[in-house]
Amino acid sequence: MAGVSRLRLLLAGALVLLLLLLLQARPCCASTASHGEDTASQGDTVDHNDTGAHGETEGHESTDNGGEHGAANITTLPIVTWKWHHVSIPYIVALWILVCWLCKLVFELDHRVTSVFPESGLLIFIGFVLGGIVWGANNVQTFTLTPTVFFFYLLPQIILDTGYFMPNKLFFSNLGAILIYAVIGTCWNAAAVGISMWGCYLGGAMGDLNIGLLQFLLYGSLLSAVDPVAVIAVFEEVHVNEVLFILVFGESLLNDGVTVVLYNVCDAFVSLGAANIDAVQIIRGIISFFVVAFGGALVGVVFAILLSLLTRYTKNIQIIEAGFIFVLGYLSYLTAEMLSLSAILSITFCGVCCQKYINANMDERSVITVRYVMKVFANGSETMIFVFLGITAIDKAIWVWNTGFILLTIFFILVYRVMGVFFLTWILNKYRLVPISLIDQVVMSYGGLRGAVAYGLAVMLNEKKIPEKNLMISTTLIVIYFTVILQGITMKPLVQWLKVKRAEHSDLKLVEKVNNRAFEHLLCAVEDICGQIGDNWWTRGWNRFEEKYISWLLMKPKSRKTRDYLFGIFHKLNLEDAMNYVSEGERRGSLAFLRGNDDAQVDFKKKFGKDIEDVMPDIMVDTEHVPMSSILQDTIPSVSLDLHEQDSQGKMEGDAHNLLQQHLYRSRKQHHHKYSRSNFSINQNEDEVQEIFQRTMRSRLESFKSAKMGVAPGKIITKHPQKERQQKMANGNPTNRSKSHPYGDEDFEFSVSEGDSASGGEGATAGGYSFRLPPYTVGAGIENPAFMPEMDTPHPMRPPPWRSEPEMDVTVAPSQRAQRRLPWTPSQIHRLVPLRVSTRSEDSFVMADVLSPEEEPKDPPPGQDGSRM
Amino acid sequence: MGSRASSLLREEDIEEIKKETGFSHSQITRLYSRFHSLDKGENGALSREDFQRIPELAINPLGDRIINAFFPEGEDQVNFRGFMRTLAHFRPVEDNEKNKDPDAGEPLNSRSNKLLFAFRLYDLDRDDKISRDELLQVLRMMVGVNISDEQLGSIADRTIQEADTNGDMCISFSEFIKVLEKVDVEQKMSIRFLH
Repeated sequence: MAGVSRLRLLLAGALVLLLLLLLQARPCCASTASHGEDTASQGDTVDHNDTGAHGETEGHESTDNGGEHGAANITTLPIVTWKWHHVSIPYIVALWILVCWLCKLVFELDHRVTSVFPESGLLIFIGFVLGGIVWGANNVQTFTLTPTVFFFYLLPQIILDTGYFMPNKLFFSNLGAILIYAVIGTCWNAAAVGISMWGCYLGGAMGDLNIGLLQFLLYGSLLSAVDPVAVIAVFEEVHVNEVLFILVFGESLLNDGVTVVLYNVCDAFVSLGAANIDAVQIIRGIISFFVVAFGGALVGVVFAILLSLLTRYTKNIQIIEAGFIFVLGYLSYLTAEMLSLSAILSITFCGVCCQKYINANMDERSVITVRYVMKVFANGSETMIFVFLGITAIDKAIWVWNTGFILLTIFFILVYRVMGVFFLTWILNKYRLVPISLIDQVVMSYGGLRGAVAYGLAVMLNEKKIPEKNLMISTTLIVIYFTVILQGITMKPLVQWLKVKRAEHSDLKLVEKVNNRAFEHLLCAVEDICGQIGDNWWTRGWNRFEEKYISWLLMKPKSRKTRDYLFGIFHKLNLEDAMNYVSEGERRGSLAFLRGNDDAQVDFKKKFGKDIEDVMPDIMVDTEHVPMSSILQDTIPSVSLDLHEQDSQGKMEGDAHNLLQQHLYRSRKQHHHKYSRSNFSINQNEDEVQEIFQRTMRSRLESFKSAKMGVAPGKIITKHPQKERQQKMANGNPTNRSKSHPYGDEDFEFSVSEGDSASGGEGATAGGYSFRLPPYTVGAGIENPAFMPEMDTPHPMRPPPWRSEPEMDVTVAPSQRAQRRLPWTPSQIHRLVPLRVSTRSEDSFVMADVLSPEEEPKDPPPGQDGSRM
Repeated sequence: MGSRASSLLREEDIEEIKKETGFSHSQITRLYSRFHSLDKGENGALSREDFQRIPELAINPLGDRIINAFFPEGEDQVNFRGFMRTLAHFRPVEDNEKNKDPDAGEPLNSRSNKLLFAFRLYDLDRDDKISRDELLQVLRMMVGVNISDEQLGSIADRTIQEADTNGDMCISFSEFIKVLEKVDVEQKMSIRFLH
């Protein structure tokens, strides 16, 4: 086990090195790597290597494609050319992404590593290594994380992801605390760090530097960006209580935005110069702070509304509807940036506000797509950011060491974080129903890790205004390494040692949800009785408003109607059960164990699970002319699942199978022209099902009548399917019985009539039809009308299959000829016979008489079929 | 808060209520003035009608059930003591009172008392069991009309299944406690009373 993983580790490591060598190997093998590794995205100049350098390796003359070199000396038509230049930039970017992700793969191979070291710290370490290699090869750091790349291409998806996955209810119920931490706490940190550093500087603690108070404030503001990736990871792992979780999570989310705003304000002050700052400018700065922050949030909300409205109408372009959230989210980011509002807050609020509505509006598959794609983007770019934070460090150019400056920075950051958290919590606790405990406060203050935002802002510093820019960058990097690596590693032991209150990790239970709902109503009522306006009052007021107006505006009427909180939970639970059920069935080899107890208590969990499971056997066995979706739709209403949701669910699950199924169907049953394949579109509705059903029934009725009159055509029609079916049953024999059973039961009435129409022989016909029928049982109401005139009563009871076999002999006995008629009957279908007999015995006698002459000559071919079984 | 209202409340009463319910002095006087303003009959007791006059309760799906909870069985008047005793169920549990006075009996805002209160909301016939019908009634009040009776029935069935351990298709109080043991009832059934 360990050996294997070590092997994979080595392999992955080797791969990474290989890639790097490919990138870096200009000196040694210029011909392959040639134009090298320059210009990731930071716009270094690309060396334009000359043409034809690679000709040798390719084995024929190649001309460079880089247009400027021109097609200098083409003598023959090149078959293949080496076009590195053409692709170099995207190629390098893609390679780096690959390398970074592979890095993650490398240490995810062994969970012992990640359980001790935080992932972000490990990524930084790998970044060091990679950076060392790059530097070793080039003697200059070619790849660094530039602010443009960071803020435009790496950050937005991370923020969107956190916003989109924000647990809304928790977030908004703690919004007050989160805002206080994120706004006041951040400002406090920035100001306190800046001023203290300045004080120490004046005191001579860091030697001779060219920094003024404003620059220190700017520095403090960029350092106040908290990025608790590692903390969140630890929290998720140990399941800390949800209040602590949301406080840290929410704070980190809003804090980035606030930091950037603060940074910009300070930056503006710096550009203004200390001399020009008076009270008016300060007030303007404060106003600008709020305008930028709230303006950004507002832009985000506007985009969220647009997005929600848009997804109301994307039903017809389901394939790409998932893409809208990314595009519009990104646009909200850019728009806010364009208006010089807070882009981060904009995309945050876009994600937070739209999630409910787009999840309700979009198709369930699209929701899942969004979820996963979002994670891919966010996690991918997070990985890249940390790797590059490591790589960036390996660069002589940026390192300016000033021990006093660095140590004091770290010290102040830690101290003021603690002070801020404790002070703000002290205030908050006066107003909180559940006070934030001391331990939680400790964890929160220790969770103040700094991340890439701080670095990005540091790099953005203007060297002209801040002469000590490099000192600030290197200190920021050290702060990041210190917090991410050291604090990240110690976070988990700390959480465990302090015995932070854990969240009760329990399975979702309907009864809990029901009671939570009841509690909410209860609290509202109590507040009303006490005549006070409290949190619950506001919550309820908002919920009412939201339901009445916002949902009305932003949600599809259809999904609005079918949305119900409790029902949603119920549905979700049932889906889970179904999944478990299926896997249980697969574990046992089949779902056959179901059969034992499918009598009265076929509760729908089972049934649903069964249906999903059925999809696959179905393909091989003989119900395949029924699209899965119809089965799903059909069985579920009978057990009271919400139709709409179920419908979409069924589509989702059955889609791929459907496709396959239909193809199978076509190849096997081309002659089966009663209805066309196109009827089985995914969106098949009930009308269609009924239509098909009625048509089938009518034709059967006709064939039945004609059969009764002794006319052959009708019979012939019914015969082919039989053969087909038998063949298939031969294939699918083992599963056949158990499978057809659960819903087969309901069809016994049909099979009865079928049997009659075919003049009830051994039940082959009946069997054949019975398998075909299940899908139609939906229209349980319809089936009878069609046959009522002919049939006396519906079949009274449904004997279980195993009982039917002994009876068969008895039942068939009355008509010897009928028996002879279909000797090729597959044995497993016998179970249907008793039903037939019990209802319409006389009919079958009559028909047997009429038909038998025709039947006899047909014995031999069926016999072949039978032998196949 | 009228001084008239609080003057009707004698200090001894306040002390007793304080002891019994754990409310602070100011909370008691504040709630007394509220009590007084609800008491249209001015007879020192609230009737069901008094509660029903609160407009928000009329649109609370569980409003009537909650009103009922204020009235001891068989009575249709509740005095201030009773009123406060019911409200005390919703006081948050404070850390310092968890281990204070172990022999003083269980405080009204203890976890099990909170749960009992919730349980009683369902248990109309007071047989200490929530039957399927009782649950259905409450569910019907709480879910929208879009859910069919059939669906609701299956929700109720499932809910009972989750809680029912002895197979009688009812939820007894002990089962109720058991199934909600992981729910933070102390927090979810508490409000912050204004001082």
